[in-house]
Amino acid sequence: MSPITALVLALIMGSSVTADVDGYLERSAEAEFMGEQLISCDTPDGSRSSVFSLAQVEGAAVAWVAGADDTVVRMAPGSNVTVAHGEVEAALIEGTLETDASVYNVGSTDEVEYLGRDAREVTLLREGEERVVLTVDAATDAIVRTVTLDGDGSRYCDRRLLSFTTDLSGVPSVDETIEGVPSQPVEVVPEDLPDEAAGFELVDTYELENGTLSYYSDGFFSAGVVLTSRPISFPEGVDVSQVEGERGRYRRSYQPGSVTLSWQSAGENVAVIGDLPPDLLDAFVAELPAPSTDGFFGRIWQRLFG
Amino acid sequence: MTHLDEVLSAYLDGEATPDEVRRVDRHTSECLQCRRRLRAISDARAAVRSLPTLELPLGLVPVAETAPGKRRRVVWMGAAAAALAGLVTAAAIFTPAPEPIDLSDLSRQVGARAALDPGSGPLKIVLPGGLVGE
Repeated sequence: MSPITALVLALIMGSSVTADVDGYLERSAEAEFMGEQLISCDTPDGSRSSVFSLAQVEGAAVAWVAGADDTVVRMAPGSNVTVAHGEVEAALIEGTLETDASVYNVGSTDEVEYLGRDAREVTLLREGEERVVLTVDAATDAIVRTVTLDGDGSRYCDRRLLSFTTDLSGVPSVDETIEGVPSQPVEVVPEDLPDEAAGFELVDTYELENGTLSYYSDGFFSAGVVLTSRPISFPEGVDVSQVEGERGRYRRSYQPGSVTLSWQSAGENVAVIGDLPPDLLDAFVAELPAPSTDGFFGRIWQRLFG
Repeated sequence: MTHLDEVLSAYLDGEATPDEVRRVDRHTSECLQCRRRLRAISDARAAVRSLPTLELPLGLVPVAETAPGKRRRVVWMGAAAAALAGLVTAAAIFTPAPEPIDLSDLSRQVGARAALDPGSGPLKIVLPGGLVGE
């Protein structure tokens, strides 16, 4: 085999492997199922876990707690609706649709059994390291378990279905006719933010009332970065820890399956909201504006001029 | 990109030259940072304008008026500095702090954006107020 032929074959095989990662995710979006999901995360602030019912219907994920609460969350492409106690909160958004999973490739696949059903365990590598293990239901292509790993190979989060059915009769309905104008991405990107950070690419930026929201993705994990002149408040009842990092002080809150980091930087408030494992979060945040503390006059200026 | 901090005040005061006005209009249509700065200055000025007028203390004006030459200027400059400091302090105290952004709203937007990525719904969805434990 000539070197050129070998190179062409390698390129073809490489691209097919990359396409497989996208393929697993895209095919799973077509699956329809319902079950009970457990999220269990080992975070630097302790373990965080959550149990709720989960369904995927017509491309939308629906989460709720059966019989215990009337909160329902429905996530469909470009919309995220929460219904709680009769109140509806919705976010509508548009953005770049092409996915870029080039950071990941398939390391290995194994035939396994999960919840008594045939399944395939797929290991995703990021720069040669195992970062994600997907368990894919063979009959439906639904992703029934996702284990994400920290940089040292230890488990970060385990999302797994405890039951599985294709009978969707118990899925609560959510009004899909949410009125509102979807946020549109803007061309202007905040100068303070990099185009790429620790393998995460800046995909879209949106204008907020007093700031911006920039969305980064590495093809699997993702994070929104908020820059705003307004103070940022954590929801009531959420555990928030003060963290002294190498570059300054942060406020941090881990929830099952998500993490939020917030700090002040040169008169602005910054927040990162995402699902990154701790080591990737540290590497990502290290490339964002560093924390800084305003002095007395800085605080007066901030109060007067935002 | 060069920002226009030094011209924004003149622009808002109507004291910018036509060239500067054109420059600001063109730049702010492209620069998010300067657009936000312009809005912040404008909001702050509106807040300062809404403050009550401060009366000078009784006796200060007659003293200033009767004092001769240099002393009169010093008194006036002192009074002006004190009034300005008072104004800034009052503005800092009475200007309401900007309303905080609730992270729940931001998380919802990030979730909506993440849901545009194929297959991510079940992988990213979180349920606030669900059965959560430590």
